[in-house]
Amino acid sequence: MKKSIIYISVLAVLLLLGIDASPEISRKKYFSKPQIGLWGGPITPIFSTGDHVDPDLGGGGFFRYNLPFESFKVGIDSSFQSYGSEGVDKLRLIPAYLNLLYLVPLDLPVKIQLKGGGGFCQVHMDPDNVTQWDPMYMAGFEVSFPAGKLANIALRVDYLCMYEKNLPDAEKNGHVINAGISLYFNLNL
Amino acid sequence: MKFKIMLFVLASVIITGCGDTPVFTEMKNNRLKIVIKGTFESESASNFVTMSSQGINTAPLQDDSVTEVPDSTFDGSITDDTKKDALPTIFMLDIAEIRLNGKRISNYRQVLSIPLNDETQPFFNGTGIELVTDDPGDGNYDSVQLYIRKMAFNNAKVYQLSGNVFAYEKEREVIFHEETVAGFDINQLMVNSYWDSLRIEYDEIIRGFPMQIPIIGGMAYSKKNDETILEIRLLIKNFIKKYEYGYYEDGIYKIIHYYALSDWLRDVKTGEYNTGRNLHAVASSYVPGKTGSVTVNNTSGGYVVAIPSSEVANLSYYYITDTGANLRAAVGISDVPIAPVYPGAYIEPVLDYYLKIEKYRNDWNTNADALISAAGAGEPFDIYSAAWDTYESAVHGDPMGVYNFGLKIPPYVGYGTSVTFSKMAPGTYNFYSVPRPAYGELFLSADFTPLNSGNEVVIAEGDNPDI
Repeated sequence: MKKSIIYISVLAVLLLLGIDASPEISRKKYFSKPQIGLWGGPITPIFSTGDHVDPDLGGGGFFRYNLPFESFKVGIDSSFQSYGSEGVDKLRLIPAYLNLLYLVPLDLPVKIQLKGGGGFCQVHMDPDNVTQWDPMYMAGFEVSFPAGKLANIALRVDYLCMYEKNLPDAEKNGHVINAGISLYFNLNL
Repeated sequence: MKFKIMLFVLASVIITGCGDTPVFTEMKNNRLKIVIKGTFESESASNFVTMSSQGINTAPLQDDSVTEVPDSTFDGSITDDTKKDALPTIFMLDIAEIRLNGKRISNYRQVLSIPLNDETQPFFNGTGIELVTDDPGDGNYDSVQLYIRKMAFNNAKVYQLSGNVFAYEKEREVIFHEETVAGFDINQLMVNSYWDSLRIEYDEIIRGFPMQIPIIGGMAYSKKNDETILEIRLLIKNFIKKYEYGYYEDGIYKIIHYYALSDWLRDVKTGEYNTGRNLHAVASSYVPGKTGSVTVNNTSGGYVVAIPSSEVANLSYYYITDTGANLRAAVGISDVPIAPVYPGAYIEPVLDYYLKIEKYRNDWNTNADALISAAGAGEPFDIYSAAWDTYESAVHGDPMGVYNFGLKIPPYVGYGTSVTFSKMAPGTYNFYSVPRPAYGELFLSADFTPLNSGNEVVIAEGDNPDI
């Protein structure tokens, strides 16, 4: 709990330092600014993973930076996901990955972004008490709209796959869907 | 440059932290199999003196604490067999949770209802019933905790006081697995008798929730083994006695004749209703395909038991030095009287209660005088506590809290003149011949006769020696 408070406080300070409050920022250009944000919402194990652990709530943070190509951004994303079960199985995931975001060129009041990327995920399983890093990849999309000049609100849905089939005797990968509401801020970096 | 160094360090940490355990495959796999049995024997049906050979209204099947209705036929006045005491035919067990070394590995409710007289049932024929569990982490485990929610035998009868005599009222019922069934839940009485509430370690004393069970020889669990068997044996078959439980209901005094585990270790006295720590259990483990086998010639007959040689120094934990009744009698004047229970606001029972409380006070004062006299210039409480410490040590209650599993049961037990243990974990063992004790008793110190001239026997994987 204490660590969570420190973590949130640091993030809040970073946001306050970084957000762009200048009035000349156009709402239409908000995608072109670096962004930092938080998300929270239901996390759902699917396929074989869903047979052993139950959906829960999770959340995370992300940072996005512009690329020279206008429709693309690169992001770094991490979250904390803890799954319980009716039995004694417990699963904790801390994914940390890079992703590439593509702004779908549609002239709509909302912006639609497609995401894809990869990285590593710390996996902890109980009662086996196993903790390790697995390679992972992800794909997802996000629908966002500006909430004033500073902030944006988005609905995001991500599919995460923790890849283990490269390991000896492995038959399954880990699969989860993260859906959430996200709030992120334009930065003036 | 700094960025590159940080990236390199981060990548190194992640790559070196990459595991080789297929976690999501392991969630599906079940490598640990827990098997539960209800016999003293490890691989066969019970050879103990049978319950059915005992008189229903007489010792040793009927405990000496049964005093209100010592003969359920009321000297022949009851002719309806359904109203007479009858041997239990069903054992019911409701398990809430299982832990290994205190760490939860199963919280799946598991309910067993087992016929007591059907030798083909796996619980009593040496096969065992598999319990649902998840896998623990790799490591060594030396104890398993069985959280027993309810434990009951059927054929419990209720008698109520009518005038000066008891009359049969009904079959006792209990809610078991959300169903009302005939029986009496003995788990509620699986506590030590009243004196333990005076002890410092009161809240650590073994009860049925959890039942602390030692894994004799330990369990080295590794996911590299496709399967590991953890076998738990509860002493149920032919270790059953009839007891009496008194209570007031709407001002009417009633007693229940019920069946519970034999008090051969911790004697239950008249007026006591708690039968705790008379459930005995053992666990052992092996990896299928990595076991040895041994055939033991036991010319004197009776039981053959095998214990790991590391346990020889603790052999005294496998027996008691005198019968449970004698050990309890040795407590003497420190075994203070038991206070009567207040019956509720009903005039006649309350008047009876005041009579009983006066007698209790008188008995207590007599006892206290004896303790004060025995203490001389010392403290009477020292006499009291020393007597109970001696008792707890004698029944392996371990008053100092070093070992709190109670009486140990050998991990391998067979019966006959030639006994084969076919699933022995590799190790070094000592073998003993032990005569079959009388009903409701178990082993005394003189009963253990070493086999193989007292020499250890090394059992390696795939070995099949004869001794």
